[in-house]
Amino acid sequence: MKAKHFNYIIAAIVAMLVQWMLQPIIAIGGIGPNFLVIFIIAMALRFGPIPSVWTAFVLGLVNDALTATDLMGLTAFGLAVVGYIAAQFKGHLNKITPILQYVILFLIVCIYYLVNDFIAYQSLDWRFTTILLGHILPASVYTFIMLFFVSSVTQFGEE
Amino acid sequence: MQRIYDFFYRFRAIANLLLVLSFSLLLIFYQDTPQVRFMRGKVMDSAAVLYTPIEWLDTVFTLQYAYEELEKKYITSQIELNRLQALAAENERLRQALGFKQTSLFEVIPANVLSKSGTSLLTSISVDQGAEDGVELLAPVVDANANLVGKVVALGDASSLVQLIHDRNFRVSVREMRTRTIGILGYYDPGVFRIENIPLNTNVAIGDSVVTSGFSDIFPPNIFVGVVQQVDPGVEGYVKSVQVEVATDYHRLEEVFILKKNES
Repeated sequence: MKAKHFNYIIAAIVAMLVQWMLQPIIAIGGIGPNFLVIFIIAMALRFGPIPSVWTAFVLGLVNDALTATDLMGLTAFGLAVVGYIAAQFKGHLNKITPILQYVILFLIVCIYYLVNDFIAYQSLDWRFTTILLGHILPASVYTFIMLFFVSSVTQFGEE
Repeated sequence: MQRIYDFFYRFRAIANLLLVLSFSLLLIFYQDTPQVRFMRGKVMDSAAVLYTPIEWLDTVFTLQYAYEELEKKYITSQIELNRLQALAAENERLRQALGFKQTSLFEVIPANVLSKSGTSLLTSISVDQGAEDGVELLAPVVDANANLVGKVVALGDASSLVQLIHDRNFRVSVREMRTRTIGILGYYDPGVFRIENIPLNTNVAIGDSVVTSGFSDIFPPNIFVGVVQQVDPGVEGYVKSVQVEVATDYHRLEEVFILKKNES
């Protein structure tokens, strides 16, 4: 096993622990960043679609098992979609302007919450705007801010 | 054959994605099977092992403070207990005089909170007591002040997952103490707990206490839930709804108590 693969396994465990322990502490009004999304985007940009999609599946399942969700498999579903979409930008992201890079990354984060929330909350007769403004947008912005911070510190992404 | 192989090789990324999405959907649709529940229990136990050293460290640093707080609580509780014991004896005597049946009692299993997880609407905690400690599925859970916290929804051998009252799927039959009005409490809108469909002529007021009604197999009666925060007029004019401020502070939970039906 190459060192970079080993590093990413360690990073996956760290992402899981951070999501599990730190996220509830830094959540504001119950809305916190999703570190698994950040990790899967980083992994997709580095390793491409297949490893990121399967890692997303495993991490998503573990996360679902540790929450009271009645939709076990939903996080795996959302993360796998994010992993695949982010991987499409592997090798291309560095060739575009930084502003556009961040717009793309923000949209990818939004896609995760759109997929996740619309399935999770479909049993509630809430209006689209309530879900969008009450959870999808704040959670996406918070996650994107953390993604910006983590990418600045770790220089993750493409080699 | 080579052509088929080439075709799949060319589209291997999307094939992997479809495979993963199919697995996810299968799990979503068939999650109540024993195999999925077993897998969930094992994952919880493994995660509990990871978290135990961190929880132990946290306990060491907060032990002195927790001890002082507990000592204060013990004194005040002891005074209250003495008063309640006298009332319980009187109550028992009166119930016997009226021919009422003995109400069931609960054993209490203390548990440390290992982790809190979820989104703004899906909230749960994992605790360090599981099936081997006598915890049962759907057992009610209260905090140190005997306020309703939630119920056990998944069991591992040494850990359990507790669905909190703050979870959007959580519903509990409650009773307003003063008027004895009964309703179903749920988390209907973000940040708002509500009892719906209360008859319009019921005189529920702000500040009234809300407790569990006991009309379910899960929760015993009279567990404190919260206080009435606001009374909303009904849309159609026949019923009204009541907003409730729940007593449990989900963000400050450190230890909880799992109630187990006393077989004796």
